[in-house]
Amino acid sequence: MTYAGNLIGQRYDDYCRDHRILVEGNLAMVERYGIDLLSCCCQPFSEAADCGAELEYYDNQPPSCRNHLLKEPADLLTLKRPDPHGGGLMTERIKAIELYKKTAGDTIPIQGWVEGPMAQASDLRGINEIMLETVTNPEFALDLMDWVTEMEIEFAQAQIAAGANLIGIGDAAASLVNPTYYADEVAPREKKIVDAIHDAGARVRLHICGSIQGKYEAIKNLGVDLLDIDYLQTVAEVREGTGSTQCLSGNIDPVRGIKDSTPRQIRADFAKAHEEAGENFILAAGCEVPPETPEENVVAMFDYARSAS
Amino acid sequence: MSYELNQLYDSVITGDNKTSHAITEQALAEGIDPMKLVNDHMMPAMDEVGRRFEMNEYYVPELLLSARAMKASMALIRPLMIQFDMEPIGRVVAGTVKGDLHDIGKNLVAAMLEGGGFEVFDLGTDVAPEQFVEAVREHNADIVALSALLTTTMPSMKLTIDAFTAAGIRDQVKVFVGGAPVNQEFADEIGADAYRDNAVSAVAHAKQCMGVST
Repeated sequence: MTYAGNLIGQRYDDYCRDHRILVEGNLAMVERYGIDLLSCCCQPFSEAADCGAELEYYDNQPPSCRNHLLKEPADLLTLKRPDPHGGGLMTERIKAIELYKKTAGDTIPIQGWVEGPMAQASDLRGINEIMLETVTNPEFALDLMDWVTEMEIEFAQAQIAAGANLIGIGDAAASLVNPTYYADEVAPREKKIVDAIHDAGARVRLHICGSIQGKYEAIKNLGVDLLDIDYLQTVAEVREGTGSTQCLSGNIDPVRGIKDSTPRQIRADFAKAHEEAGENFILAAGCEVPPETPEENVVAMFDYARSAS
Repeated sequence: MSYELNQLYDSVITGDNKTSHAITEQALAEGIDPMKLVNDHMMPAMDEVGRRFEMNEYYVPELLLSARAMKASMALIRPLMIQFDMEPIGRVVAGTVKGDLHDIGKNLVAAMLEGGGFEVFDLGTDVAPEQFVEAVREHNADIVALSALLTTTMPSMKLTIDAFTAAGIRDQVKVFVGGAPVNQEFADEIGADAYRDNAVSAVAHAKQCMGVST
């Protein structure tokens, strides 16, 4: 994301708002490093913005949302579901997929992106508010996640119709709730999105920022094609928790293990993660590759991947 | 007395803010030393909450609820502390640095510090260096807690520390830094006094800085 924007010398706010810049950045990543994926993921607030939330943009980082759209739970009653083709940021993502398809054809998988139910609920309501409301106003929290789930299914279907082969679901805030709440309330809603994506003919990647310890069984039952793990657990632990057939990707610490590391250490860390994962494994950073990462470190990631595959 | 004071401990742990407020109100009306409520019931309760959080028995919702219950009591106690010149363990100015609007980590640290007996002045998110300087002066802070979630906003931590130096107040405060991309090497590089990777150890270290045994 931010690394791709930097690579073509573009401001990240432009990268997030103009699909042509996003596509140019990712195609440059393919050309420079031989990366095997064209991604549309750029920032988490596209759907919230199209619902009416005001974003703040920065030159070199993802936008933020200072004033969340749902000031009160009752605001959900009047919240209008955005049209993915309505000309907003969701449409930019769909246009990016169409442009990828036109430019690269079927040579490289195209990854669309939606937010998961807990993450999008946080984007619309505020992370502190929705965390408290999972306990103090559970009906509202569930209603909001249901509303979000329907919106994300429609958005995912629109991206698949445009040519996406894979849809990433980012459910960052899901790591913050306890395993019981996740299994009983969040995972079933994630599962609805997963099933809808599969029904539409695409594959699913799930990324949950933060720790997923204690949630392995529920995640395993989602049936995602790729589980993208953050750096807080060892690959060995996640492998044990999710089984040998679950395809995993990850999980080197983006700052200490990628940005601040050395090519030699990166190769060693990837070798360790690879050994722990065994089969069904895709090498990646534990989350985003920071934009300030030295190029030789990025090259080292791809060198290891090629030498090991 | 129609309640047991240990119900205050329980209400903080279970995040029952109405009960914690009611018991505190009643206890103060009966002349119970407010510091007894804080030291014997609320701080041990938040210690237990921190322990449960570290052990993955509590997650963010439970911790925020406990913090809310404790704040409900402190809202009654804090004016009395001021009135009778009772000092908190220390004063902390906390905030997410300029350019960064992520606040859940900062909120957890602020809540745990408050539960640990500190008076916390939470400046919110996207806080400019000059705002931190002003707050340190205004509140006579002992500690400044700086948070960042993005690698792109980490430089704001150094700019904030530089602003303390330029304002001549660097030696008056201990600067703590934290957040997912931050580490000890970065803390050393920018001249911060402490880096901690979780709220519980941040509180323990803050107490050490104030000469309080943990």
